[in-house]
Amino acid sequence: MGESSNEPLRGTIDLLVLRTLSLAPMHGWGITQRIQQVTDGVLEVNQGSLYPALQRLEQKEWIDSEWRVTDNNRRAKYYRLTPLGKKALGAETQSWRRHVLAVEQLLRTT
Amino acid sequence: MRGTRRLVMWLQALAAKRRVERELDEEMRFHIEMEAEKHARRGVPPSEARRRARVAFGSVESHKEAMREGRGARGIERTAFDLRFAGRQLRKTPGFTVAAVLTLALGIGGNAAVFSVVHGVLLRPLAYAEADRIVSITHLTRGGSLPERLPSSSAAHFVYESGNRTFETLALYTTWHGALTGGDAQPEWVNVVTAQRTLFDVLRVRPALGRVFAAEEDAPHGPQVVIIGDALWRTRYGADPAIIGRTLTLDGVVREVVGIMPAAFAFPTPEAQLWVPLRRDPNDLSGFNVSGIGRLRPGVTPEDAARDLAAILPRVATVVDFLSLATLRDAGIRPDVRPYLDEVVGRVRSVLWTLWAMMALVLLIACVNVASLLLVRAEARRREVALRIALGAERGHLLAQSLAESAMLLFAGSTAGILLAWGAVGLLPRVAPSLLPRSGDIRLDAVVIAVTTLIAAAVAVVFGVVPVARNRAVAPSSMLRGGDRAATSDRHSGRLRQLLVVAQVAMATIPLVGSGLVLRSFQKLSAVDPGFRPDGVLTFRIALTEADYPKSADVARFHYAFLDRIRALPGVTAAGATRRLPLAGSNAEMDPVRVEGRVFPPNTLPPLTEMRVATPGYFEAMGIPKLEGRLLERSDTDHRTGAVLLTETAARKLLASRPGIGARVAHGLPQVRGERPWSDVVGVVGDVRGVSLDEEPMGAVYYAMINRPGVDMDWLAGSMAYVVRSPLPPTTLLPLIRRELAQLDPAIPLAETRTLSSVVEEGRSGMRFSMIGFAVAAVIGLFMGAIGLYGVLSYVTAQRTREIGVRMALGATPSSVRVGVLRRGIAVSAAGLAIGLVAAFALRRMATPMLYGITPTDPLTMLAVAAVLLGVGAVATWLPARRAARLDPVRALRWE
Repeated sequence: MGESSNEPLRGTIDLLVLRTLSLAPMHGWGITQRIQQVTDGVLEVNQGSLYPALQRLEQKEWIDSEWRVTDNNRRAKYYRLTPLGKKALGAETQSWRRHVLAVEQLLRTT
Repeated sequence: MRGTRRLVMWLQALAAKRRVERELDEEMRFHIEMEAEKHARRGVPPSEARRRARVAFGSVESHKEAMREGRGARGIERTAFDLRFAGRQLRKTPGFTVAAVLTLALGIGGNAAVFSVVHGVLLRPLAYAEADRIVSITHLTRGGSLPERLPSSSAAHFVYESGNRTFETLALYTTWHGALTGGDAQPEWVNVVTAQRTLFDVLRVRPALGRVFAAEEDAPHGPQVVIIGDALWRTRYGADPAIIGRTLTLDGVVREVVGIMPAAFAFPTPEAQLWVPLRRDPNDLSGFNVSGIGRLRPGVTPEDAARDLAAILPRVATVVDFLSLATLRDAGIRPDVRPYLDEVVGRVRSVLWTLWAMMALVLLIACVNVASLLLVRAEARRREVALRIALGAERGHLLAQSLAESAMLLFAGSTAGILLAWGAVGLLPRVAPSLLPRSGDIRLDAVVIAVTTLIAAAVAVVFGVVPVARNRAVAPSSMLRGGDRAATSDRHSGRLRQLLVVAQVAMATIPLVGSGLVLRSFQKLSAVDPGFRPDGVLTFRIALTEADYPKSADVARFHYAFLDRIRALPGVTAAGATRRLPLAGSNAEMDPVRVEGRVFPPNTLPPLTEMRVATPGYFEAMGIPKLEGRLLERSDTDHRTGAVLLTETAARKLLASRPGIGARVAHGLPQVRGERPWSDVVGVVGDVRGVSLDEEPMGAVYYAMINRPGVDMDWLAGSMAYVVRSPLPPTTLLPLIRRELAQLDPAIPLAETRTLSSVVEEGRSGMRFSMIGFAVAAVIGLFMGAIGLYGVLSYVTAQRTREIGVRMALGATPSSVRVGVLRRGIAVSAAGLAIGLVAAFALRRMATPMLYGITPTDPLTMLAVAAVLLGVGAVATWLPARRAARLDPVRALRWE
């Protein structure tokens, strides 16, 4: 199956999470599902990196969390983008685009 | 209250941590359940769905661990864990822990205590502004018939004051005792300081209330004034500020109180209670009999000042006629200027530094002890360590864990040590206030704690690193394969341990030698014959006031009447009086003595002898033996010429080979204090150590209490120390004596009541301090050395259990096993002893100033030290040896 090939690139997980949460607050499992769906299964976020990432973002105060009841009556921890996180998402997106362009350019010229 | 609050906060923090963990659990469970449901929705059976979800999620624990690390809690948690782990490990081996903590506590505590004393007595500046500029001025001589050091002189100061270029101010002072009377209070015996008014400028101290002496008060025939000390002001005058301007009577002289000194003022000693002006008369300057003090100009060294004064001193010949240039030159008199602190501290300086050095050595022994204990522990744990490394423990973490252990030991050890020192320092002034100068300045303050902490940190480096370094070298594969058997055959570590023990024994030898030497000195000093028999003698002092006893005949009549009454008391075998008791701490009054018909070479000072005053009965009461002629009699008092006694040494110095009885002597140089008439020598008595036990007697001339009518009070018997020999205890005798005194004159205070033995004991107090200090250092050192030896031998023996078992199975007898272990222990202690004795020999100079009557290589001391060390070594070896000999070979072979 080549599990590693589905792993997002190192350092991009924060961006993926922020982007996903920018649409709506969501719990951890929901985030993985969402990323998988949107990328047609190309990117699969490993739980081992998701939860530390969530914790990291929460420490940076880019997201915050609260316990809510899901549609089918289960308690789950929902994460939500903070205003600071919204700003950060913009900056991260910019920097990602620059990065991709640069890599692209390099690949083309060589 | 604060304790409970802290507990609550701690519980909250703990609860928060629990909550975070719980939420994490719940979040992950939710994740797995959702995943399982997803699979279930696709038709996978529930159990398989859950399995898949769990597999996909991976290890919950490792995710949680990653999160903990992410929380940053990991560092703290790990440290807390390591500390808890270390605590558990230490609790598991209470023997080791107690030994290590106790060793460290004694080492660090001993250092902190001695350093408190060093800091308080030697390092802390005296409590005066810019105290380092205050110097004492004395005079050195060529020795011979003169003491090597003389105090200062009003004549010398007279020329110093006007001519020097290195001093801001100079002052003269002297101390004496007087009777304080007047007012409603009881008459009181007080310590008085006579000083020039410049003293307060030298010290830069001002009265808390009132003023210092005015210029005219410090001049001859000026108004009589006094400044009183804080303690006297409170106890006698109820801290009443209105005392200023009122009068008090000191030795019969009515004086106006002009000032009250602050409570902290304790010049020259804390005992001083009153200060009166010196009123130096330029027409009546004296020889070397007062103390000199001065404040140097900024930037001037004592050596500069001494040179400056030396250049001026010859001018003294133009001021007084008893000191000629030739006299100064021949006697080799030259000024000596030293920091005043030196004078205050005196001989204790070298004792304290040496003691600190000894304590440093003891601390080093403690370090080595703990290091070797840790080493043994590390050896024992090598297998565990190897196992943990094989299971993937990070070496860094293992290092952190063993550091945590060391840190805990050190923390416990230094805390206990500081508490120990705190107790010891608190006890010191209560146990022995007279043992040390400046004992009020000794305290365990921030500086001491800071220095102790630094020392503790150094200790940690010494003992903490060794075992860690050893553990780093562990190679898991070989260790696991070899087990403990491999560990025992590690020759290198065995040798290292033995070397450590040799070093310990060697280091323990040095304080032991020091202690032995001081003990022997004390023994010698105790054996010194003071020249009188102190036991069974009660002494006290009374003073008559000039107002009530204006004529010397009145004074004599009173003393004789009082002595008669005392002698009539039941149980009194002899009673007499003198002006100054021998060994009572005051300086001797040294004066040149001339002999009729004997011409000393021109421009040399005749030999100095002490001038003493005694009543009939004094020699009998003191137990001073009569050697020739007769003792003083009451009739000598009224003699036209007066009769004197010489001590043996004085007779030898003054009369050379001439017959003692019948010679005529006179005190003082011609024209000094008016020429005294010749006195007949009527007898020779035994020598008495007058100033201190360890100084050879200078020789003395005893005058009858009043040997000529009309001589001024100072020379007379205004205040006399009584000596009463009686088998009765002082508590019985004293009330009787008080009653007699009250009947004669109720206004006279009776002071300084003590036994003559206690006076002699006090003369040994300096030596006693060094003796106690060294004994403590030696005992701790010895104790630690023994622990070290015992610990290592026990361990080595335990490690050799299997080997011993094999030997015994092959026919070795228990006694041969025992001998083997004993031999090893004794070899180690003998090697340490040999090194220690060589080191002690190399350090012998350090000990010399503290010794009396023995050389620093005293063979008896060395033998005793060797015996004690080898004895303790044998005892420390005996237990492991016995254990080894009792081994059951079968069990020993199974031993792992």
